Amino acid sequence: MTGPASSMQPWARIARSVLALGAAAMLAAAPAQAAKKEKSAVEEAAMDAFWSGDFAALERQNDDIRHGHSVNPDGSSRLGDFRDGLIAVLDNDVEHVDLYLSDLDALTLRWAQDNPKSAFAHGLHVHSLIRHAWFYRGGSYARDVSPEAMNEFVKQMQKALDYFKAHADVELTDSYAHVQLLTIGRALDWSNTQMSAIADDGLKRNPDDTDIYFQVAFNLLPKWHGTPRALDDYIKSAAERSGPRFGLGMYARLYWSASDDGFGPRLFEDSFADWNKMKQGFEDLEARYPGSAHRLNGYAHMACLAKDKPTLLKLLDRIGDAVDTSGWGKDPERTVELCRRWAMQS
Amino acid sequence: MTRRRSGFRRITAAGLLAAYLASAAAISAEPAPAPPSQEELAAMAKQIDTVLTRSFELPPALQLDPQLRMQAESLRDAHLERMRKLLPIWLHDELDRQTADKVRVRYSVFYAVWAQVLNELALWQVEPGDAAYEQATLAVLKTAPGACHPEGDTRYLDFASRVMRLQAMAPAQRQAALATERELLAHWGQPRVGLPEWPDPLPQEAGMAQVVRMRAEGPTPQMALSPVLASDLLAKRNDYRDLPWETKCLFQQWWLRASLAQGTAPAAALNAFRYGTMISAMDRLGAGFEQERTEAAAKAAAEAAAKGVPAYPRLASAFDVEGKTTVRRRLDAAGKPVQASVAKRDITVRGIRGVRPVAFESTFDALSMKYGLTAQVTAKPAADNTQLFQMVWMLDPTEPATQAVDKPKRGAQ
Repeated sequence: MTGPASSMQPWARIARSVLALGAAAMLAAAPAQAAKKEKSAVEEAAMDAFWSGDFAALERQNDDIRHGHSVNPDGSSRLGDFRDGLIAVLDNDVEHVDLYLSDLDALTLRWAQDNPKSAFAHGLHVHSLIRHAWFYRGGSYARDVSPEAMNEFVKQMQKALDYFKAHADVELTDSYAHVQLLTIGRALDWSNTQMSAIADDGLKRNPDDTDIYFQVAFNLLPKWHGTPRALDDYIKSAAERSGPRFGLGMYARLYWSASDDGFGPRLFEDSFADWNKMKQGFEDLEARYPGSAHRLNGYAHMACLAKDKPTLLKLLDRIGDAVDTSGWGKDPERTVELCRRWAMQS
Repeated sequence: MTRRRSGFRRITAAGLLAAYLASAAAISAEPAPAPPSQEELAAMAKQIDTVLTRSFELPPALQLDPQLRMQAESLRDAHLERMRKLLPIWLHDELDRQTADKVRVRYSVFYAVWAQVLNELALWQVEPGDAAYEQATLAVLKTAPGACHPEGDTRYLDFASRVMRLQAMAPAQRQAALATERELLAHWGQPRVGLPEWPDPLPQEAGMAQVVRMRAEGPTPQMALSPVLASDLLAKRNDYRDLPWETKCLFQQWWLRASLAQGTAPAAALNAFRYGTMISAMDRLGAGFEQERTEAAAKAAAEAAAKGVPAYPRLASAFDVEGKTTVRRRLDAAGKPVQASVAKRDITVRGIRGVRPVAFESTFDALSMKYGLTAQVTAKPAADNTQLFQMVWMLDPTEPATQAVDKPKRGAQ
């Protein structure tokens, strides 16, 4: 059941094709660091287990990752992969999605009731409630959301928070809770000080839960509750905190994510991103966790935005024909073409 | 069973038959079918053994403990070896009976014994084991979705499904459960005493009624569906019968848990699950037979359909399946049928004696329910707006076979 794609169960193949339809549903609701070209085995396994209602398998997978290797050989987060599998099921884009999400709320509540000491069970229920709240709000900017929809959104988020509070003692033993809490805090306009305190506690609980860094950075984008300066301060502190493991890698990843989620091609104009540090970060990651095509393409994309032609040429040469468009932002084909053309100009 | 049917029926529907007929081409001379020779009987035995073996495959991709795999393979090999000895005996016995009964239908010996084998597979699926086995099986089905995810062609998952359930049991329970499996396999070819009846309503009918309520009232934690079921049944509003096998199995598993939570007795819930997931003869072969409907048969079926009479299933013609289905339907205030189900099945199949033809008992279910929803109401319904009527399924002496349907009558039967 947890094997690679070649040994995937028939129902899982159906699930994959069904769930693929919903992949873009929540772009505005979560940091874009989850965007990847191919699903990992961890992500597939989580999606399959959740889709078929196998809570025991999900709990086992979560425990294995938390207590085993949290970082993939290419430096990406295995916990992130696992949670992407959960998100794929929560984001299933079907008709009558309200009913679908109501069922997931009910199902995850039953799992939590049946497993009252499972932090993951409570966390998954909160996750489901949060996803349901976003269904009411939609992914538009706040100014485009109707007051009724916003009220329902806040009401549902409050419901998620109330549930969290009632089970906080159990839930906070898993940093999954902190990721959920940061999502709630962003929706309910909590102060950056509160958000930092949550993140600190989560990282003390699990220093390898890099999702926490991305959640905080996402909240500090100007379109949410931050400023370029606040974002820069945070990214620098996150890079320092994670330095022993990633060097300046987290600096590169968080600014790359900030480009995808907010600044777009104007990253270096509108934020305090320092290309030299980003470049060093990508190199640190490559030295410590080599072999990520997704990251190599992201590196090239950032080099293009930074107008670093020699680096871009070197990276395009390494990429060759194996372009991974998942690393090239929101309009990847066009961006690749424009960057290539610019790099070739003398 | 001495009716004389038309001389030669094209029966190339299933892969098995295609292979068999290829080897039997030399004996397909018209008009009078001669009794099969010893050589032909041996070829029949070989073909039935080939298809039976498929139902005992354990694909390498199945995640089984090595020891369990070894024990299961050993159990399987012994059973198939026994069946290889039994099949020629069954064929000879059937030939003797048909000769005595003056049955002169081509391939009827072959079909009769194949029907017996298909029926043994079905009986094996619905027959309970001892108390400990039942308890362990119920525990697995209540908690382990992996029981619904075997690899391979879903028409041949008989043995793999069972072994996956053993895999999900605690190691201490496995040995006892394997012993029970051995005992249940030893029942093949024997009369079954006290075989549980079909659940009424079928679990899919009861479960779908719950789903319809959930569509209107919303889900509750106790009844919540797994995401795959919620997506198919609540969000997309698909019908149970359109689900793929694996999802149907998950549905049956959900309903087992839900019905237990609602107070259904464990034995009844387990029986419902077994009938709900049973691979019937129609499940295995029905589509293949229908694909091979001849032009003349298709035309006659269309003519029958125009008169509101369901066409006789090709599989039922081939296996000589006849009998009666009792249909119960519910009418709305305007007298329009809104729901139909099969309340009772009285079916006979050539070759199946001394045991219920479980594999074939649902052969006419889909047609009966369809008819129940479309046939005109000519009799007054009961006070609760339900109506019972019987449909009689008889093979006609000429191809294509059609069925006779009695008039709907007031439901007190």
